[in-house]
Amino acid sequence: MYLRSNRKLTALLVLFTIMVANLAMAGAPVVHGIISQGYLKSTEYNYLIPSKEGSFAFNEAMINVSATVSDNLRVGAQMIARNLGSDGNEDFVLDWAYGDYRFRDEFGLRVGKVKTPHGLYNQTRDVDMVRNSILLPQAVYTELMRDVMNGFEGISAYGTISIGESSSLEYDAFIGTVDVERTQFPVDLLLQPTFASMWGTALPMAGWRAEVEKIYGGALRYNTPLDGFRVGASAFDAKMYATGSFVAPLGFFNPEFKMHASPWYVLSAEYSTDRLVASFEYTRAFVDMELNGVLVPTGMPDPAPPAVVMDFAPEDRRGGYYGQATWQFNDWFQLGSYYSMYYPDYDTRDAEGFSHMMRDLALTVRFDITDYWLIKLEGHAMNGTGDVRTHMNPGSALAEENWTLFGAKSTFYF
Amino acid sequence: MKNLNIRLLVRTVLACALVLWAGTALAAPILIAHKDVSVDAVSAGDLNKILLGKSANWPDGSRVVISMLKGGPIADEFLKTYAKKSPKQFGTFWKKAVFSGTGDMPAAFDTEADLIVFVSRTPGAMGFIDEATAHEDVKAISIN
Repeated sequence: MYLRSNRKLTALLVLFTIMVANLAMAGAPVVHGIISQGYLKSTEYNYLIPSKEGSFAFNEAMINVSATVSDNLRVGAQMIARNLGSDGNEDFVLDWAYGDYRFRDEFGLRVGKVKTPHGLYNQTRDVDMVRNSILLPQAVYTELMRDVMNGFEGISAYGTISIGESSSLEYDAFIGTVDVERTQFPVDLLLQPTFASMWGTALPMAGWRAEVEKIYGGALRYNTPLDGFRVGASAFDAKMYATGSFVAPLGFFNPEFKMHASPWYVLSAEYSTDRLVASFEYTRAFVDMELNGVLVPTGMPDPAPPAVVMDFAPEDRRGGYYGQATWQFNDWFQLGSYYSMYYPDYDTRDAEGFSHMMRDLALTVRFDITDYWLIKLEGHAMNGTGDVRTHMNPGSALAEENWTLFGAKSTFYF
Repeated sequence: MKNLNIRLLVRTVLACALVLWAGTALAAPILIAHKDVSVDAVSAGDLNKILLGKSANWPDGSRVVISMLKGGPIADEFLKTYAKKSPKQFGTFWKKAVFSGTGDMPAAFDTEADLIVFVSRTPGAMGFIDEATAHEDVKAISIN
């Protein structure tokens, strides 16, 4: 009932392909691309990818084309292939594709698949070369929700309103849907840990389909009279419905999943000079979920045991913050660090122990070898296991409080 | 012998510093535009909004096309003064726009000659060069 076909997105892609092809014949479009390969190695736990043994399952490739059709209209599209452990699997998908009509500086419209404005860096979360760190602070930019908050199919109104000579207010309001083939959020956060507690193991996934039926929200950014200092707030409300099928011991488990994030917000501040970029962000999420499922026994002797109905209604009240600073020493060397604090349940942040939180102190060095090639090295001193997935660490009691994560990444772009 | 080496080192360092300072101090960029642009002057605030994509038009309403030098003291001085960014940061700012789909990368050139040719041939184009460079094919725009 809730699930719709992908025809809308496909039609959009075809439309843009035709438009871009027409423009290409006129010699107008501009093409840019990125290829990025990363590596993660941790001392104690698999984090995001099978990092305990060291893993290269961490890469992105993207290519975009855009063209200015008239003084007011721009069109463009970007394809992306990415891999982060079990997420992405290197298939090329549409990242964004839209027409952007700017009536005036104070008001413009974007229609198509649009990147979601959320926090300072969500719209460029996959673009490694535009930041210092390899991993964005997971307290705010969790990879679990990437597929929900990365972009939407719909419409966005945006603009910049001047306030005097030296300050301005930028706004962005949007509404749309998200058609996601897979999302790690319900699978990794809720389903697999539940399966692990029930059957002692994560379950192979036979099929999964999810759609954000409606997402709407907005972002405000105030560029203050102090040069380089801006503050902002952004939030969204999203309703997701998903169904899936998992191969359970002695049968199939066919859960139905609903999620309502209302709201999920970020407060942001950033200060930059010609050498320094410093930022701070704070986030809270209020997510209500429902999981209803039936375990259908198969291959059992007659009579088979009765089907088992399961109902869960968990809440997600995550929250966290980070502060970071980056210093550009010269054209080829950049040093940066961030301190990030994440709580799976913000209301229990003062609890004893270390499973209810995760502290991340990161240090990154970035070398721009040429104008088109860079290398980064990054170390994380972790404290706590609040963001470590139990099903990714079978057999581990997550008993080690302090652990480290090392990352390396190289990116080519044009 | 040791004192002589120290004096030589100090003089060398001072000479290098003087050369670097002079290179920066002598950088005097001016704003240029295509000859059909009707504007003769812009405010520093309007120029900042244009350089950072907050405004897509000249004050007279016509579309603006940004071009720039890739580096050097003129680019350092101009972008630091009016965009409040280093050339490196300015490039990163526009790469964010390119890969999030919100803007197009400014045309960037290694030499002033190439930049002047681009500005002279592109309606609405703007750029910056050293004030001492000949620029008969484009118009200079004052910054208030």
